[in-house]
Amino acid sequence: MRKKALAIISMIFGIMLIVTATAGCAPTGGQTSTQQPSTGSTDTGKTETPTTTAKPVELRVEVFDRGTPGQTPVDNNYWTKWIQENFGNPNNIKVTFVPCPRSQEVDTLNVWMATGDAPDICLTYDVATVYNYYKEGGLSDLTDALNQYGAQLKQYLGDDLLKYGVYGGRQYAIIAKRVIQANTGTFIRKDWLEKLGLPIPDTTDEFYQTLKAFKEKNPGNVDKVIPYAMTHDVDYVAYGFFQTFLEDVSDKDYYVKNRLFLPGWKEGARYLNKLYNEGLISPEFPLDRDGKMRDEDVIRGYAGSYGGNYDLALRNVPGHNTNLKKNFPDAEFIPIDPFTNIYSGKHRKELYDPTGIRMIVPKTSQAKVDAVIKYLNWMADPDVLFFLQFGEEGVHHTIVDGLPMLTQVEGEKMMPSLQNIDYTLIVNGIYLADATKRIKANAFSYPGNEHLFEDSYNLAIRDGYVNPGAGLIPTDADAKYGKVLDDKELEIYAKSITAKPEEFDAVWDSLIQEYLAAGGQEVLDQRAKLWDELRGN
Amino acid sequence: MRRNYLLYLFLVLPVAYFFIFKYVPMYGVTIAFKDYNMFLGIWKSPWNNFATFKEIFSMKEFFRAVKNTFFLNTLDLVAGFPAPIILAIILSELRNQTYKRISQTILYLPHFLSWIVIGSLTIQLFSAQSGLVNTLIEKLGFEPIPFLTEKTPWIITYTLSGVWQSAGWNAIIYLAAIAGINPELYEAATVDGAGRLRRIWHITLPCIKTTIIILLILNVGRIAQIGFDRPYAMGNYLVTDVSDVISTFVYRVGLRSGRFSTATAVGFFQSVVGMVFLITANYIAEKLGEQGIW
Amino acid sequence: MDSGIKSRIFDMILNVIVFFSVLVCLIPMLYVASVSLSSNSAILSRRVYIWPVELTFDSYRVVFADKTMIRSLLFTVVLTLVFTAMSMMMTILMAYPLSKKGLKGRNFFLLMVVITMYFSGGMIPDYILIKNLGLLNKVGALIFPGLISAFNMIVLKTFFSNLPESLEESALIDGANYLTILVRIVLPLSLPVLATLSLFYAVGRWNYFMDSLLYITDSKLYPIQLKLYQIVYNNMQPEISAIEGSIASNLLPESLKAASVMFCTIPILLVYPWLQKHFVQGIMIGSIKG
Repeated sequence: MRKKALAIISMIFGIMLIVTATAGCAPTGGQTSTQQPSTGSTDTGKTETPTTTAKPVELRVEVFDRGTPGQTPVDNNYWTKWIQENFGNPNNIKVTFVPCPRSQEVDTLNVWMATGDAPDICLTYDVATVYNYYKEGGLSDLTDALNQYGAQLKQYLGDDLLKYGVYGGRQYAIIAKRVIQANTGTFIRKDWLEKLGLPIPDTTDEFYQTLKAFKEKNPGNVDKVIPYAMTHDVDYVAYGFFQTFLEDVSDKDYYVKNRLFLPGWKEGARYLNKLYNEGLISPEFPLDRDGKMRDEDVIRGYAGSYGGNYDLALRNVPGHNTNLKKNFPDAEFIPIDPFTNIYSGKHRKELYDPTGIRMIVPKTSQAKVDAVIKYLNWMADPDVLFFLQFGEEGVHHTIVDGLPMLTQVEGEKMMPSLQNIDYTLIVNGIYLADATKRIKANAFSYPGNEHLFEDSYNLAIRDGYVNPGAGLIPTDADAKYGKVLDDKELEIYAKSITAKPEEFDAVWDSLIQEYLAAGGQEVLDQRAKLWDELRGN
Repeated sequence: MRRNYLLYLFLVLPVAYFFIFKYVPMYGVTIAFKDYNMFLGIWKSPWNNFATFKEIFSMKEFFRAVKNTFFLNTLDLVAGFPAPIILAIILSELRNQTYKRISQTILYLPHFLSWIVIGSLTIQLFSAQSGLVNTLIEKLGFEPIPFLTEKTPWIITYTLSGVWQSAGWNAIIYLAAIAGINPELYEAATVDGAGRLRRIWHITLPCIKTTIIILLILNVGRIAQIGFDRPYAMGNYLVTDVSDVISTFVYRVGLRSGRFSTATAVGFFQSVVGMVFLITANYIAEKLGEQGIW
Repeated sequence: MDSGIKSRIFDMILNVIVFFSVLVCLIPMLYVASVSLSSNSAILSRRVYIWPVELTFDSYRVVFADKTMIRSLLFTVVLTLVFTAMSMMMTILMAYPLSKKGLKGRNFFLLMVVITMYFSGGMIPDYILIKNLGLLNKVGALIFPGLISAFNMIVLKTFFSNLPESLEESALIDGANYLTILVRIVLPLSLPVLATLSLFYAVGRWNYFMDSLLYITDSKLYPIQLKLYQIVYNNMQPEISAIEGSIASNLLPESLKAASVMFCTIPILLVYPWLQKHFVQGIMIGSIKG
């Protein structure tokens, strides 16, 4: 009995020890245990001897992993090898890529920063995060390295752009260039207009009349007509209605008053309330949190028009035009720009600021700032950028009408992300040295809708402006209450627009009071103070 | 007892586990009492005592979130706790074994749907304009019911969808308990003339009583905790007054750009409250003569 | 008596209740399954109900064509099995001693466990611990941290303490030690609850991938759920590409989300019937007596 007991116990412990040992060592796949992902090997058949005999500097660069099916490992593939060959070897730098799941970019970055594990180049789109790191003393100063090694980079990005990454007079973040600043657009059913013999609306009032005509006459002959399809993201998808009533204000006021408090903004909401009560807008828009209900209404032919991203109708996914045509072969959404401001007559709209992703160097990587800048500087070479974005001719792209058109590649040479955006850190969007070609090259991404692209783009930047407050460091109140207030704002739209017309003012005013009490007042005050400090009056 | 040394031996590894993986990192709780600076680290960040708590308690939205959490959780308990028990009993009373096995399997399937999926399903079913259920209701000549856009209907939809999602899965543990009942007890009762219902009442229920009580205590202890996915996926801006709970509150307020202190402080609050509830529930159970956790 | 009218009516009522419950649970799953096999435009046009429209296997094809998917699937299966076995072992080792009311220190240990149900260090201390233990990017990071669920342990302890004491007492008198009793008497009698808790651990590990997001950067160690989540997340790319200012790509359709749900569910559907036989009533009978 005793022996058996001992035998069993030792067996159990033995098994657990073995499992522990193996679980703690090699992961399945027989890879030797290492804390860092495998480096990009330089096994390309070429024998490159480094130009110095000093030990190579190791540069760890963050790379987003989007989990694209069939992708090659983002930290060890054709592209990482090319980078090592063309940048790493000549400069005696060993470039290692550290994957980060795209969906967790901020969370993972926070944990890395907090535990000192962060790569030398970190990436994020979240401006408040960058500022927080700076405030807490977590970022390396890049100014000197930039001046010494970053001439090409500085020329490529330009001082105006780099300013977005300057805190306290020193450069703490490198800002990627955003090629396309077009933001919002509006689309309408061309075939419905033609059926009713209506012109393309060019003013807000004409647009309103068109919507009413859609509702009354049902040109599509469908069960349900939604003249203007809207989601819960009201200020974005229905931007035009607000822009119609906005008064001209000083740059400071525009920044401080942050939509809700701009003179005229409430009138835009009131107008939407009117339209809603006349049955011209998606009846359940507050439920549509991901745009799916609107997508369905569009594809089923119920929607007459809608607003959103400037290229939304053209995109392959959710495929508004593409799928709509499967149900109604003659139907098509075309871009329009009807909203005119009642004061200036302009088709004003907000554009994206010219910034893309932020690149930062944690304090723990202070010693690597030179290597970092050298890397980004190398990338600013137009030939490098072109190759990274478009690859080899005949393999990754073909030249059509003098413009490169990307082709789908599978296997070893595939791009894990479109145009290799995850490797071309310094630019967001297709970048061609020739400015006129830059925009046109985008049309290829919308198969079946190429003919609409240039119009979409041109209308989307017509009379456009960048928020004068873009690039200002976030105030403490913004960082603290930002998301709360964003949500509250959407609540205000949801409730006030769906209220009865005579109740609109009461609902709007009382919710605004709640907004102010939830931190809104602090934001207003702090923004005003910040503006005065940094920009004078 | 000499023999007890074996029992303590058994405990060595598990206790080591708890110590290493649960207690060693527990110093992180102190973030709730500090001005956490992620670059100074947890140890070196300065103390701010209860400043974070004061800040949270001064937010009106926090109390609304707490109220909603407790309210929704209590509803879940009232509606959702008995359902799996009843389901397990019904299933175990089924004659046809194949029917029983297949039903059991299908009934727990909803557990595998994420709330994101369920959220979009509910919109497709229950939206007042285009939902299938309301389309049917309209065809029958009635007014559509705003299941999702008004407060009380929303609460009902929220609760019932929770029951639907978890009843089948939670029934499994009760099925296991029922499986352990001695069939001779049933035979004896039948001989004594007891009908089906009486057998359930006098045998099945008492035999699984301990299981029910312990699960009840554990669930009461969870009353201050609430997941994020379900209220987030099911909620919308028209019902925030009832749908905003502690987890969604923390998501908005606490987690941006390293505001870990707020999130940790709220979590601490939930933990304290939850534990108080657990211990109280356990105490009540034991006073009533039942077996609790201890 | 059992075949009396009352009993038959009772049976009928039960069958009806079960039938409707099954319907309510089955139909949404059929919908999800149908969506996973339907064309994108059919889905968005709301033409899909409980049967595929414009049958396409594209989503599944994409998933299976990716070799890393298959490897990840196998890895996840092995991980789940190993995890479940180890968790059950540890849980049993803890629950059994703590089910003995007379054991000195029992209340202390229980309190220690209950506290961990409520208080924890949080993401960052956990990460630091894993890092210091050298488990970052290793399988161990997915096994050890969640090894014992306090909830499961307490449930098991309760079941153990409900077993008739006479069985153990007579064995003890016969000179058996606790290990023998545990293995020879207690465990065989506890098969239903052991099966249940194994299921809980297995499904919990199968579905959970938040820890992988944090601790694993080597894509060879991504559990299948994580890979599927990535794909679905990429499906939200229109928003992302707006933020990123890049062009929208040729993405995978709506049906992929549904296909990933099917992926989660089907393996469990295959395993469960095998476990079900332990829920047959009366399994305790025929047990060791005296």
